[in-house]
Amino acid sequence: MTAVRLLIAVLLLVVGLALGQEPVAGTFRAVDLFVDSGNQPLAAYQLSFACAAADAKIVGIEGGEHSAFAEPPYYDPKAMQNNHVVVAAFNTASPGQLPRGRTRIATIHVQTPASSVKQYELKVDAAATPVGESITVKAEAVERNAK
Amino acid sequence: MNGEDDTLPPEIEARLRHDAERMAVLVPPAVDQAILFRAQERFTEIRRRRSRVKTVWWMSAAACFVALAFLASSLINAPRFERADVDQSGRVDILDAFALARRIQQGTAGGFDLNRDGVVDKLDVDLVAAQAVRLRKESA
Repeated sequence: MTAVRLLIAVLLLVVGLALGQEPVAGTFRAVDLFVDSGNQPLAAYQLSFACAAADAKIVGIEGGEHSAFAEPPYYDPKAMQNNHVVVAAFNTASPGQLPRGRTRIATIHVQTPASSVKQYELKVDAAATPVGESITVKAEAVERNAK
Repeated sequence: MNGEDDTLPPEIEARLRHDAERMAVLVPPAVDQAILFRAQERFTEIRRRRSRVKTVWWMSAAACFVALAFLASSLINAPRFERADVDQSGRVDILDAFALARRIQQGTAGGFDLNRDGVVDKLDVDLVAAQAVRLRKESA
C-alpha cells in the first residue's frame, strides 16, 4: 500500500514538473542576404525579405561584410516581430570603395517555431551604381545556421 | 383714389362703427376650437420646419468643415510625398535617398528641405529612406 502511494506521489510530481515547464522557445536563425552586382560597383540596394512561415518573427537586422555596407540598413521598426521587412542602404563613396560581385549586404535574425518551414523570399526592389544608374542584380537569402 | 380723397367721410365711418358694435358676432365653440387647433398645428409646423432647416444648416456646415480639413490634410501630406520622389520615378525608394545624398555632396540639394528645419542634410535623406522602407498597412 505504501509502495502504491509512493508511486502515485512520484507520478504526480513528474506530471506537475512537466506542466510547470516553460514552453519550448523557437529556433533562432541567421539569414544572410547576398547581392551580386557582377562587374558593377554596388552603391545602393533595396530588398524585400519575407519568411514563408507566417509565425516567424524578425528579431534583428545587422549590416553586411563589406565596409561600405557594414552599418545596419534602413528598415521599418514595425518589421520587428513581423515576418517580412524591406531593407535598404546606399553609400556615396567612390566606385573603388564599393563592393563588386557577390557580397553579403545584410543579415536578418529570425525566430521561428522549431517545426516551421525554412523558406525565405527575397525580391530586389532597386539597385544602383555610384552615379545613380539603376542596375539589375541577383539577390539570395541563405540561412547561415540554426541554433 | 385717382386724385380723389380715399378716406371715408366721418359721418359714414361713425355710422359703420356704430353698426359694427351693435351686431354681435356669434362664433360656435366648435368652430372656435377648430380654428385654434388649426392655428396651433400651423405654428407647430412652422417651428418644426425652422428646426429642420437649422439642423440641415449645421450638418452642412459640419460636412464642409470635415471636407476642408480632409483637403487641407491631403494638401499638407501630398507635397511631402512628391518631394521625397527626388529622382521623379513615380515612387519613393532608396534611390531617391541616394540621389538626395549625392546632391547634398555636390551642393545642389536646394529645395529638398523635407523636414523643414531650414537645412538640407542627412535628416532629410533619412526621411526619404524611412519612407522607402516603410511597410504598407496591408502588409504590416
